[in-house]
Amino acid sequence: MNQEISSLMDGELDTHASARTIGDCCATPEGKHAWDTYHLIGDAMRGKDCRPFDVSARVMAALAQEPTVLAPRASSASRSRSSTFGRIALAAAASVATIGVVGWIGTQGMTGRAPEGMAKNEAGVTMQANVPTLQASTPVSQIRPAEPAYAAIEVNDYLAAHRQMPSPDQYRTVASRTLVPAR
Amino acid sequence: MSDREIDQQLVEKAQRGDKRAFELLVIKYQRKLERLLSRVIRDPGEIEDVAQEAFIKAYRALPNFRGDSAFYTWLYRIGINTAKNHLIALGRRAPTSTEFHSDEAEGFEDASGLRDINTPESQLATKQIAQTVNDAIEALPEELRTAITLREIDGLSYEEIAQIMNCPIGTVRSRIFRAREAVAERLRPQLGTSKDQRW
Repeated sequence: MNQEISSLMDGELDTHASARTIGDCCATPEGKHAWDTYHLIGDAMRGKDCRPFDVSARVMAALAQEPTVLAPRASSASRSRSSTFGRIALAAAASVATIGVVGWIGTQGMTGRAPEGMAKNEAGVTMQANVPTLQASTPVSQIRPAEPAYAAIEVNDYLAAHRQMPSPDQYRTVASRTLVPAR
Repeated sequence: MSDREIDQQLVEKAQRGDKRAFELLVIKYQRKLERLLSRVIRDPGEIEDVAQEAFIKAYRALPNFRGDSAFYTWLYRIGINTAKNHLIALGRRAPTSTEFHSDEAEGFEDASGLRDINTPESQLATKQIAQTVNDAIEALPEELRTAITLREIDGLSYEEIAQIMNCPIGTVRSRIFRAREAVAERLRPQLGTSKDQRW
């Protein structure tokens, strides 16, 4: 048994053998003595003070009067379960936060900036929307600056051509024709 | 298994109600705790009292120990706090919190702490134990002496020692055990135990 204790304190036993040896060591005075003496030898070899200091008998006598502690053991399985739940909860929270941020940014883009731009200049908004596409696919040297004046003229012509109601200019033209007496 | 894992096994066994497992922790760490307490308390009798109190406090608090830190790190904090409270109760100055950090608990090594507090008798006993161990190591056959030196002084694993000594791991295991037993045999008269009558 003492050889097992020697290997145990060197950390050279697997989990199962360690548990068995600890049980044996606890069960016999010889086991406790070997455990104590081997640790003492190690301390002495490493140059530490090795006064024959032994409070274990006093401690155990005092603990004999104490109620036995019984702690709910956190098994490795439950620990791994709780850590798994924690990871899942963290991932879910991160996903929800990401969705929320993306949604908020999208909402801001639709309700805030775009109408503001459209109110100023509809053509301008169209051009702003096209710029990232150009930047992503076209070399910088080939990107031409936007031409808001030309674009605005084109749009105005387009809108004027497709109005359902004639423009005031056309009314005036017709009126001026009717006012001129035919000769 | 590492040293910390062995301690954790002992703690869990004690938490399941086995006081004998806690006794192994007391035996393992009592001298280390004494060296720590000797930095705070001068009187050897008081050190014993405070060490006992610290171990009892640790036992009572054992249900709260979940293994987030090493057992000795946890015991170190309990020991320092118990020593501080002891000094305050006696109206003496307790060390400030900056003088002791639990970070140093793992690597706490103190070879000189006991010099001031040792009585002449305990100093003699300490020297005799050290001398006996050294003499016993010197008297060992070379292969046993090399194996236990590589283990205890250099902290090598059995596998590393087996590579150095060019022998199987089982032989290393046996040599280290035989070396320990030979030294223990020389120590028995000083520790007040015989081979048949121990503890």
